[in-house]
Amino acid sequence: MLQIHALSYRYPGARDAQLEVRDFSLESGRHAVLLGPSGSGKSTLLHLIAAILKPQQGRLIAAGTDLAALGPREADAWRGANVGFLPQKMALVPSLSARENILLAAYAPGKSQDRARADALLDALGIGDKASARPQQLSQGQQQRVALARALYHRPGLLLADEPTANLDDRACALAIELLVTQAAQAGASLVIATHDARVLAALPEAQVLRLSVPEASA
Amino acid sequence: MKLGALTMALKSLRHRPLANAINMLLLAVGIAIMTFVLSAARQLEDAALRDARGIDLVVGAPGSPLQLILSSIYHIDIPTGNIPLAAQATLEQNRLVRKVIPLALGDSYEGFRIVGTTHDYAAHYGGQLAEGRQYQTEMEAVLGAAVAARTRLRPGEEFVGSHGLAPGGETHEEAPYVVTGILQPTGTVLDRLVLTSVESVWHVHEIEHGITEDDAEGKAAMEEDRELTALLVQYASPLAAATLPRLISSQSGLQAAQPAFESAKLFRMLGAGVDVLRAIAAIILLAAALSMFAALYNALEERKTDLAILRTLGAPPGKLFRLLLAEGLLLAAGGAALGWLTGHLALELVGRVLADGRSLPISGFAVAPDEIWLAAVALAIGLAAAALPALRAYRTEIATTLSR
Repeated sequence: MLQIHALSYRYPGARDAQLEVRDFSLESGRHAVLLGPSGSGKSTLLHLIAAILKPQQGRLIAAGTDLAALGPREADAWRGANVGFLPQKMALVPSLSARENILLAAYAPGKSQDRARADALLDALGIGDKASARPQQLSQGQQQRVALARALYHRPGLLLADEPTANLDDRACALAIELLVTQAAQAGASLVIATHDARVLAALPEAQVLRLSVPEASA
Repeated sequence: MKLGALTMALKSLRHRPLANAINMLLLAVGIAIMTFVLSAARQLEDAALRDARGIDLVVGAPGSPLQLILSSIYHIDIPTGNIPLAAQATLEQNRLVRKVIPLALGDSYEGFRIVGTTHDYAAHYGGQLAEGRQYQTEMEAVLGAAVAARTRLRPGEEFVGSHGLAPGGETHEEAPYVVTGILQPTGTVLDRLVLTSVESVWHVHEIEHGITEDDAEGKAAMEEDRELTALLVQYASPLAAATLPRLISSQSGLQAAQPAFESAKLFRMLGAGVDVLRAIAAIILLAAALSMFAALYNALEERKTDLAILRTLGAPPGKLFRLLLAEGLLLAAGGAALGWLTGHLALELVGRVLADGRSLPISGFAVAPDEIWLAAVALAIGLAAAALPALRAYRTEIATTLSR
């Protein structure tokens, strides 16, 4: 599902690399935890895997595609079809209902919009009665579920989550991880979580772990 | 509803109703003023040209030539005075003249002017009888379409004129008119007139001076003094324009005014007012454009995350560009539609007030093809206001936006 070799990334204008990964591979159906302190490039790696950033050096193969070879439009289309992305801020569009927020996953890459699919996802996540609610009418947890439903809409091979447990207490943290794992399993997706939270590791004993550190040059 | 650029834009605009409504209203005010000014000016000019068509010269008493035109052709001013009856015969004998239509003014009915004239007058404006027959003998009258509609007089019914041209003058109870016919609408000044023979007007006037049918001496004296208010003249040849006006004006007690020249003068005067209003509308439109730009630009700051999310969901940058443009266009289209409707509504209201004053015909339902330019201007404003925000949306950096 994921093969990384000698990958490094440096932001334009920065002197030193933000991220260096020598070798990592993730088998299909298994989950990964990208663990590291802030500044270690977890989000950057997640953005690289999501084809939001383009690899500069090294190899990055995700869901069978060499991401370095994709042009900008191809990257957008690939991302729309293969990646479910959960950003750190569970940003839902405030002017749209929960259902419409999910359908954005179809609108964005220009694919046909399946309301039944959106409603089924909301049902599966236990918030079927909130389809018409606006984000501001939902609790934090409900908003996260809507964002998760949106990420799962296309049955992506990769479900990427950036710090999904930030600001959660232990109980909420365990529930959030369980939810992600269950949903990823049902969708047949590999879960990749970027975090600095050791509790995630504890909750996912089976996961493959990639430990990232702050690159030496900038340390 | 399926999500598309337009529905997304609409929902986004509705999410910030106050700022967007204000901008739409601002744009609507500008478009409304433009619509009103353009349409009113055009309708007035059209009406003025229609009413003066085929009339090369107006001969009347000395005074302001513009007043002579306004009173004798458009019937919206008081006459400059009277002229001797003999002037008609003299003109009719001139080779350069094709047609002379006499007008005897002075009375009105419910604010509509009673015009003593010949059948040529109605014929000149293409007036056809809708019902009844033409006036033949003294004290018979034919009503213009608007007069009949307003007063609800029917053929066979009687009415009395009142002195002067405004309602509320002294009435001539002793000399009632009888309606013999009603004209079809012509879209000209004819619709707002009561037509009768010149003799009828004289008759009313003589009775007013206490002269009865039996008073032969008084009647003879009155007949010698018979006068007209004005003569509408059509040239037989373009050569007439060079000599006739000067010839007439050289005679004492007469004045010749050229409708084409006087209305051009009038339109130049009105044109200055129209230009001022258009400039005001243009300034309002510019303010609307700037305000819309500021609103869209500021909203973009709040929405950067939304846009980045769309990108993570696979939206190409062009999609975000179009989304922002759609917002500007939608706002502009809404403002244009609202302004256009308001402009025409205002025209219709003013038109009704003017109709009450028996004055110029203005309608809110007259739509000219060139009003499409207003829509084009509004959409251009929307596009211009949205262009820079749309470009910024296009350049949304997903990674940096999400990491903030």
